[in-house]
Amino acid sequence: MTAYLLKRTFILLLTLILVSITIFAVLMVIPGDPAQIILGIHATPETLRELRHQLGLDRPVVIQYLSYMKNLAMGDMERSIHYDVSIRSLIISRLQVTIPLAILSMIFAVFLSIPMGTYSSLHRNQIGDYGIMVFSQIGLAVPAFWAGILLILLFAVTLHWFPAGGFQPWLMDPLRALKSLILPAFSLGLVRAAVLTRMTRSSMLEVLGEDYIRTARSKGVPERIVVYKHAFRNAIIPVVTIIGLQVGDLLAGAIIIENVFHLPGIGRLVFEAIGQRDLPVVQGVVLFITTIIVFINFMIDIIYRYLDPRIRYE
Amino acid sequence: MINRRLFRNISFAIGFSITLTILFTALLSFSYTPYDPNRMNLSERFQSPNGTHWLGTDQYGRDIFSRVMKGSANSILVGLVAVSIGMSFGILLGSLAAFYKKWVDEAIMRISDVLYGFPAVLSAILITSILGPGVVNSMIAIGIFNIPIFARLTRAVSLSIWERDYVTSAKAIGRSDVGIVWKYILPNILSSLIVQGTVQFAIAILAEAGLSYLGLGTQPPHASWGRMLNEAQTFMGTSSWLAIFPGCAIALAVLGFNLLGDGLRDILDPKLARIQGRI
Repeated sequence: MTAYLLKRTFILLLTLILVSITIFAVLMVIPGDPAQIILGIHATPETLRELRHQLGLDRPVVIQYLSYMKNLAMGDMERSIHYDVSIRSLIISRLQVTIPLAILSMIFAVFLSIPMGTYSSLHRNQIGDYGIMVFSQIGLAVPAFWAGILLILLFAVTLHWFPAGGFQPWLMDPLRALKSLILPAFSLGLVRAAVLTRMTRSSMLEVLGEDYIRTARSKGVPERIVVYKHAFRNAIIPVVTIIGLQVGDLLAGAIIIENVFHLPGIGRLVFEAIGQRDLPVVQGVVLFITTIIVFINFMIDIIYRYLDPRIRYE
Repeated sequence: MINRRLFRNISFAIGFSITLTILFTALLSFSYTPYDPNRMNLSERFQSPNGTHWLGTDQYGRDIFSRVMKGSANSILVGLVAVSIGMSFGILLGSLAAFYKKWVDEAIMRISDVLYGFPAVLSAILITSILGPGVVNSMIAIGIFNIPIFARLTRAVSLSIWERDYVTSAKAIGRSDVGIVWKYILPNILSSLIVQGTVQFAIAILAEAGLSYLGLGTQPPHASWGRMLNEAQTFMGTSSWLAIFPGCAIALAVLGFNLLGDGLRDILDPKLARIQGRI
């Protein structure tokens, strides 16, 4: 296990370095000069040169990368060109929207999918099973942003139950803040629910066909205990893995959903930053999101292998 | 025999019918649409669905049905190009990794991990922000996202085939490595690639719609389902049909390709088909 952990940690670090180099290289080739953006089109060549020097943009690319990584390792994420604040504080402030949004959508997804997937597996090839499978196929086909638009149309425009967009900070009005996240979280969670329902159903069916379940039934163990104590506990392991892997998709999905609902989260931040040519912000946010995804994948890999001893350590 | 097996599979039959209808609509839209999809007619703006304009008109008086038809061609084209990019580069890289193993495999898989770590929308946003918004660039962006998926699949499936006896025999009689890949490896991994290709096609349609919704994909005045939804959001309080039909078209297309992929997997992959049968 220790050798495996060391190997995985090495791969994790290597992946993070490659990710940071990729993001840095990609943003280097984006057309547009940050100095020109800050000073505007009327800036003289001298002032532009001076600002490029101040920002360190006249240094070789490798030096710029190393300096960026050094600052990052010390917790300094540079300053946003557009907002003129530290990128770290910018990300932290935007996380007050994105993290609750991701958590809420995952709650919706889990609460919808696990009971539906379990029910479906226990009533295989019956009307309820077909209905749930149709739901999951539709859930996979409907783009989250269209689901968001339809929810706005029904619950905001027609029924006036929820706001159509915008966000009130938590400290000002916690209830309104929560209400602003319900529709976006539901639209994001719908697709996740479809994936998890299918996963729960197939995982349950696989476990229900195992010999030890047959043995438990033949011993006369009540069906409820067979299903929930013997089958469900084992069937849920791969589902938990998928739940973890979905966090990355959730963060990515938030980019579009935050735009549909005009939510000031990190997804909207990166989208606006690209438009404003605020490269340090784009760098910071993309690196932040990918680091979280890579780290979660790493953790899941370790936990999954720990939970299921049948998996061989390579 | 295979035809009968194909159409006995409900997923395949439904998916095939939907996909065929969308392909037919896309092809038809090049030569015929009821109205010019880009022609503005301000005297007929915001018409709800009626006998003349079946799906109504938008804020410029453009016919929604014609635009949805034209949008299907756009989505199919993006899907086709994006999957082709992903498949061609992915198969090449995956084959190289499986053949050379050791550090070539390690290097290709690590780079693939990095690309895989970037969520599709995020990488597509990054790429279109470098290359600029537009339908061609969104195809490239979605295509690049597809490369690691096909590379991993090709590597995983072909690794075991390289160990088979008939490949060892082919090596023994002096067949070239390229010859072995062409004659023995590719035909054996083709079914997995077709199934994955169908699924990625659906994902490409969704990604293009998302990018166009954000204004990074197809540019106005050209019709794109995602772009139509973006424009519809402003007027949906008074003209809800604008936000409904393009979304239905996306969902139907994605549903069609997903069902087709499910059906093909059942039919083409006997091992998975057995599991599916049990499940």
